[in-house]
Amino acid sequence: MMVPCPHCQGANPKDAERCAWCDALLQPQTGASPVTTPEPRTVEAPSDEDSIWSEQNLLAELTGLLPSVELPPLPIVSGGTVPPVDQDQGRDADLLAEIASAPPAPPRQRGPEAPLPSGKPAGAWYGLLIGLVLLAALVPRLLEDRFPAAAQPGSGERSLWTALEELSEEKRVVVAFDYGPAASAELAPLHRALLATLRGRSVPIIALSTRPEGVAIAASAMQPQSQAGNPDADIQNGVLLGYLAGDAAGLRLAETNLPAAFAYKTASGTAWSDVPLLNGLNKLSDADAVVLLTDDLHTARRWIEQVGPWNDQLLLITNAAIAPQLEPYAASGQVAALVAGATASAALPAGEAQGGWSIASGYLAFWAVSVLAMVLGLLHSGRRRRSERR
Amino acid sequence: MTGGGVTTVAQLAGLALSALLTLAVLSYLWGDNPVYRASQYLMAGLTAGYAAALAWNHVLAPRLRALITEPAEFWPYGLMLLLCGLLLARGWPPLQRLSGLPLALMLGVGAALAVGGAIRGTLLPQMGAMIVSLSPARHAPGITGLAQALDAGFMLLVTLTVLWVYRYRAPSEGGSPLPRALVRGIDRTGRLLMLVVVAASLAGAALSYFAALRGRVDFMLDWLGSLMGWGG
Repeated sequence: MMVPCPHCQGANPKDAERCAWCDALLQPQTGASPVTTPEPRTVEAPSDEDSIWSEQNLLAELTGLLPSVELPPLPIVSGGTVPPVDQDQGRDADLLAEIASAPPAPPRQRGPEAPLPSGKPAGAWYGLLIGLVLLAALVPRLLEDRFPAAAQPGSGERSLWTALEELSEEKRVVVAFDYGPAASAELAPLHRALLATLRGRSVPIIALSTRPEGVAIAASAMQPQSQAGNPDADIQNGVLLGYLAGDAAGLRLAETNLPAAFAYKTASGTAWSDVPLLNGLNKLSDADAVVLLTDDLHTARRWIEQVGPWNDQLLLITNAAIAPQLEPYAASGQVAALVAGATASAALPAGEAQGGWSIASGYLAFWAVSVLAMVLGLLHSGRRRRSERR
Repeated sequence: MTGGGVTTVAQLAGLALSALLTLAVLSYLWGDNPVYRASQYLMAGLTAGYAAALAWNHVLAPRLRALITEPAEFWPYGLMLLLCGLLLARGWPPLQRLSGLPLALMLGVGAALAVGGAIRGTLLPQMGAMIVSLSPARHAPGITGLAQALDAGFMLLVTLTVLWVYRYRAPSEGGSPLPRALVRGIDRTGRLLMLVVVAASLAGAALSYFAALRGRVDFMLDWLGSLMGWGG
């Protein structure tokens, strides 16, 4: 059994006489205080054998290296008596003695800690905010297509449509599905609209992905709607190349030698030379357009930097989160078209049938909720500040 | 049970599992809990496993097969696989130093591509895009040209202002040749413009997260509808 030291609160065996932590006396002597100042330990003078100046001590070799310094003479005391101590010196000496002889202060007992400010608002406000956001997410189901004006084609959508209009069945388009299931809700309507447009024009599609999770999305997108999810289903009017490994190095290789980047085989194992669609497609810039669907800024930049300089028709379809950082590339003309956000699918010609309008109404509801949350947050913080001032 | 029946049962089980996992993730709204954490670990494990399987199926196995069947043509793949093997030596202390070779190759090539790509694909084109005429006549006739020239001027001003915020220099004894109020004004304007960019990025991110939430809510409603027979 352990008992706490009354002096430092350290745990000690019950029968211990002294504290293992502060050396204070634990077993009270008769007539003595249970807490006593530790007795000064006597230090024996070093013998000749273990003297620091012995021959075995390495420091001994350093003696005499430094010049000797003469010590200043001691103050001469007149009459051989100790000079009287004035009041201040006496007070300082008493204070020093008190500090030196006082036992160490016991550890401070911690009181209940003040709660740290959390990022979440107070309970009722938090619940209200969550409820509003969920309500906004339900709006598309409730309103369906009652806000068609929310999605008007912008310059990006117009550029994309112009680029797609120039494609025909003799042309080939490389589509990179570089996004994961997390961005599916935003990008899936866009890729459905894109594929519907391309299929409507009988343009053959060559699909690939530089992200592992994108390969499954590409495979599912390339299959006919009736057989989506069936791994053995045939690819409709196109070919799936598969996973392009190596990030920037892989993209650079695809730009210089596309068959080598995929080991001269498609995802299904068919030899490159056996696929008529791939004849003459030796690098990415041999395709008539490259469409990149991504939710990752670094991936988009890699494509722009490693593939963009050799492709006039690099079309970017992204989510709203990374669009502001990619706008300069669209403004400088490095990217032929930049389309962002799920609402954009509503603005594409084949997008209306893909649920784009209802997404647009959802966004409108989200904006309304955001503004409402901001107003409520300002009111709440203002009220809290007033109460804190009081 | 027919094959079609099995598929249906498998699909139903998959949908139910997806719905349960969605609820597990959404349970974080009530605070951190073991169910949420379990779903996180499940996702991390599945992602890693899927990536490893995909790397084997799409990258390593086809090259290995090509090397075995046609070694004369595909001998460079042997070099690639040798480098992969050297990378594995990192876990064995006697041969640990050999793993430095593929690592150095990867880092060197990666750095060269990144720097070269950034210069060729971002720095130079973006600098080129900034060099535009401020004369309306060079853009388009009439009010359109004036608007485009104003736009170009505004873009130049914003770029210079933000660059000004990032200047780093030791304070000179004589002070800045520009009036202090002007320097402070440019500083504040630059910071404000950067704040606008950050706000735009945050707004975009909020929209993306909302879209993800909307997708999950839609999925849950569809799933509940199929269970209750709402959808017909």
